[in-house]
Amino acid sequence: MEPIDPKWKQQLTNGPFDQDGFTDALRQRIEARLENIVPAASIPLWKRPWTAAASGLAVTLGLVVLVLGGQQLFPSADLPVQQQQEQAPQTAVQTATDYESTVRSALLVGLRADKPSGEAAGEASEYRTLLVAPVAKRLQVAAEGSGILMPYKMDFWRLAEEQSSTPEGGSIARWKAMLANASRSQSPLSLKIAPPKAGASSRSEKLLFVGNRYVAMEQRIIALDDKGGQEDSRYVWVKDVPQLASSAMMEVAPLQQPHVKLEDIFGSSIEPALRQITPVLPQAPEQSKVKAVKAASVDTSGESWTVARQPGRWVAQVASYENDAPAGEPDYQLKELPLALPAEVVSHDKLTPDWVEIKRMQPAAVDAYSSPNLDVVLVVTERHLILYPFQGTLIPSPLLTVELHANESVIMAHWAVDPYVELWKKNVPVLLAQ
Amino acid sequence: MDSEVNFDYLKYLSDSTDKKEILNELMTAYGKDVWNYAYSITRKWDQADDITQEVFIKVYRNLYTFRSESSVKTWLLAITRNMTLDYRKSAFLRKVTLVDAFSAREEQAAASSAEREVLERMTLNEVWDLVLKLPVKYREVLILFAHHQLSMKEIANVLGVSEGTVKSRLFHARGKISRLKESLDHGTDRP
Repeated sequence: MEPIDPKWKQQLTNGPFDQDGFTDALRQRIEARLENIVPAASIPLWKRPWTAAASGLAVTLGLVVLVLGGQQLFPSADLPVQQQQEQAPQTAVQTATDYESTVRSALLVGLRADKPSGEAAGEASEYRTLLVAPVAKRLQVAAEGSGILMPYKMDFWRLAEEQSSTPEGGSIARWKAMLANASRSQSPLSLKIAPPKAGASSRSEKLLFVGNRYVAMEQRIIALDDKGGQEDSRYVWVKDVPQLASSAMMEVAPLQQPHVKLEDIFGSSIEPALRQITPVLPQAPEQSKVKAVKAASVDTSGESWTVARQPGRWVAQVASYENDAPAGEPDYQLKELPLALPAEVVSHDKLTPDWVEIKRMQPAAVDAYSSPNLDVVLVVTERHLILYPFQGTLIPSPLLTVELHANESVIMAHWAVDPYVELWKKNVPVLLAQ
Repeated sequence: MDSEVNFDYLKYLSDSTDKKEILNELMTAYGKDVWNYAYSITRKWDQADDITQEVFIKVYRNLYTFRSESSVKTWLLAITRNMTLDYRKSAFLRKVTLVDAFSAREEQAAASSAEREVLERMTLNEVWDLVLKLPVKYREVLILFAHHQLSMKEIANVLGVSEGTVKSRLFHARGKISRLKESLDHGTDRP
């Protein structure tokens, strides 16, 4: 049965009036408003009519907190470096409530906790995903789960480690992507990779960056020859979700595995940038010592690269496999690409306010992310994720503080604004609970 | 749809993109959809104008957040709906009024309000008349389906409900329209 009578549907096809409501005059009015739009940060708070009442109340309550709180709210730039400890995270006070109800952003954070290096093939990392969102007008961790859940196109996808053995007695642990709705999280919290047997190799991967299509990872191959000698090789790659979802075999040489080249992202414009860096291509573990091979292996396409974090922004770094590294150190050197990453790799990579202001407010900050809504800022310290309200200026009164695990770092940060906030609040808890 | 294909590049915007040009194209393609939806919820021409303006301002500020998780149209209509819900709260009305306080809009509005009142009484056809009389939760689902021609899934995304709820509301909307039509045919005013 048709949801409604086809005749009614036909009569509703056109708008309610003969005359279009979206008139030229309305359009011109919108264009005139666009001419007057300035970045939110540059508009003094007092000039914003709708914040006048809120800011008056906030100042009053802020003074109360200052008198009664007994803690320094505004960090002093004169403090000696050793005394610039993290400004103690404060519980949300009445001041924050005014701003909290205006937050219309949600944040999906992916975290990786590294086990201390020095373990042989047993080195592993643990991953978790948090959803921070306004619930009943309070900013909270609305969902948390192990593994990485990422938004991709119209759905959420799960990144999970898949382990398999090789006939020679080696093992392969690779990251796979699968539609979250169709999969249950089956991977253990922490995959321990068994040392390879003689003549075999073990492969493992560590996630470095999770975007909305591209994922950067470090791949480690430990090969054991028949005489007991061990070759430990590391590479960096960027792969996209379709490549991670495929069943491509991992036994092929590293360069032959499906991956995304910088040339795929930037086209031919990558060549001049790569000529400035002159990176050397990676070789398979058994070839890494052959100097003759190295001399001819200049990377002109940007085969091996990663996305790394600098305070407030993601940058592309090209890997060059030139020198023999000390045992346990990566074989590659990373060099920053002198090109900004496009939005298809890192959407919304703007930091407002700037890093200087963030550091002034929170000296222990090591990184920060800001919402496209310009209503909340995530500040990362060594031990915490702290969310501060932002209304033209950073308000030093945290809305939420989340404790990080030991050696934990942010590898994914995706913002949702209307209308996706409610969708994420509805879907993510269910998916993370699986 | 051709208009959807044209906006596929929204997924790949960079800092060098001319946002104003993109917004102009979006207004050309979807200005009417946004306004019609805003009007169908508020049933006020001036309010539909205000909401449409704020929707495109918001879109301009958030162009980079379009993730292609939905069609551009669905994205815009969802923003329109949320903006309309905000509009119902007095704070939004105060904000819009204050921001436009120094524009020439008030002068224009005074001159054209009489004309608009006349237009508001002259809806296109009987079905629109009936639909605009429905309670808003039935009205909007009917209009998203029949006028904006969204799928059940897309309507569910815009409204933030399940597809089952969409189907249920369409079913009830159909019943209410029938009863309204009957009551008007018989000269009664029963909803």
